[in-house]
Amino acid sequence: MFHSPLILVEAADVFYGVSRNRFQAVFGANLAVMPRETFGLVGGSGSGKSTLLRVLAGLSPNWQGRIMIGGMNLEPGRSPPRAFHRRVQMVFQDPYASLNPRHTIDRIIADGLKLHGFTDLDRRIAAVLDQVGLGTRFRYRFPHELSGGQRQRVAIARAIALEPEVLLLDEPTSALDASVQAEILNLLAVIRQERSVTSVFVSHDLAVIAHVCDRLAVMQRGRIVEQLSADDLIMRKAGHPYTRELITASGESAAQ
Amino acid sequence: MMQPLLQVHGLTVTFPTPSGPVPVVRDFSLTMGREKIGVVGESGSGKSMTARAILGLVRPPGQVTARTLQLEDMDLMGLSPRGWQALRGKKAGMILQDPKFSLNPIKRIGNQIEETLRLHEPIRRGERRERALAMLEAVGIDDPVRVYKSYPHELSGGMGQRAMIAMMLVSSPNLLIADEPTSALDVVVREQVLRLLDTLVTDRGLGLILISHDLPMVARFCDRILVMYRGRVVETLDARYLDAATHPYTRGLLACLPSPATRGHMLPTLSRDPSWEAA
Repeated sequence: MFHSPLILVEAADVFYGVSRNRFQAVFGANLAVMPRETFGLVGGSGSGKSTLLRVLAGLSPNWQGRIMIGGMNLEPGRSPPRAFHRRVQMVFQDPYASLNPRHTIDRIIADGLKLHGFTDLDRRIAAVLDQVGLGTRFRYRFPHELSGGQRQRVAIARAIALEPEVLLLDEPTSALDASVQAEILNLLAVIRQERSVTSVFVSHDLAVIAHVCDRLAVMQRGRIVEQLSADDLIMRKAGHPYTRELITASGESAAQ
Repeated sequence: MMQPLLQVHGLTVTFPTPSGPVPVVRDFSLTMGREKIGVVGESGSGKSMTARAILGLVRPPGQVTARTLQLEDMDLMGLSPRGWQALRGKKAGMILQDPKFSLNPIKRIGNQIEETLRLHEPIRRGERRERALAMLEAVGIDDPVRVYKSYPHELSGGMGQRAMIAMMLVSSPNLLIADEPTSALDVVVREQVLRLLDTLVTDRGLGLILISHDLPMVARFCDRILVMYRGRVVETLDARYLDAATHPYTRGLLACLPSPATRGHMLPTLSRDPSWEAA
């Protein structure tokens, strides 16, 4: 079992809308992500990368094909069972929009824990806030009292509190300043070292992808046009013209 | 000696708070010709507020003071609201981050471009249309007639930003301020829009102030870079010698960027020194 993928996507088509208003956003995607791997999804706006990630998170049932995550099959047209959401957690791009503004940080983290039947909430919340570098002094604050970087730490704390096997990250640093981005990327690196977690990281920024990912898939207009290792990306060994265009456009920052 | 395009000395913007006025831009100075200046800083550094102040766009209760604020031979400090309106669009234009928010959603692109001309130049309708179409072509739009007739929501982000640039350049201003003009665009389109701006600015001999949080991008594109931190310019750099940056804030901003070289390592983070604010 050691070499079998933790996330397997086969011939996945993803849609928005139904019947005549149906729009196909992803065409025949195939992916295999190994346990503990960090896998990048790269592409321009409208390439389908975030759409595919939402399907993996079980947030968007309008798809067909085969998707297996951690031995569980996702079923098209259905919301996955609650247990699935404990094992697969997502962190969104905008830390201003993804936290309930009327709940304290304590409640934001506690709600998820309670929903999934965790006990010993007090200790768990303190430990997870500690791990994301916030400490307990932030525990009873509201999101508006926190900076963008601190809020993203809360979103990460909320996700990892449930001890998920899979972390799905949708542009988690692109709304943040460069210095704050560095802090969040470092935090994610520590989480990878300390926990047995498999990640899919969506970004338009090749430099970020080259820094954090083991392998990546490049998407263009709803199709995966190429999969390559981060080493190949760094050595500029890209086969598809669009990947080469992305590398050129990313300029000095993505490859030296 | 030629007169500078823009002279700013001691520009300060303050906002009142219950605990007294708080400066968001402090003692900003810049003398520029027809060159490309980059203003770089993180959120809250005052870079956008500086741009707004130069174009008279700071609304009350914000207060702008300066020892000098002069565009060519025109003193901007004593300008009336009407005077500012005559200046903006005609002599100086501004491009904002997201064309979705800066274009009027219920007006066709062509009308919006012509509006600038209507306000500033007494020319006939037919000529206005021709100038607008020529401008759309100049910003690299393949099908100017279609875009002329389109509403903003019918255009992609890159197209919208090209239309915005067309609108700002149609009346041939001498100074263009672009505030994060490409950060809402994806990487490939970003490069195209930057190259377009570069060509237009060089060919037309404009002065450009490019405001961004992206230091390497600004360095590739501009001649000089001003680095702002908490309202103050902490370092001015020749863009060719980014590596020669000496201020710890600038060095920190450069060091914390991920790259293939940082793979498998922790990124250096900024430890902010209170003395940076004292200048």
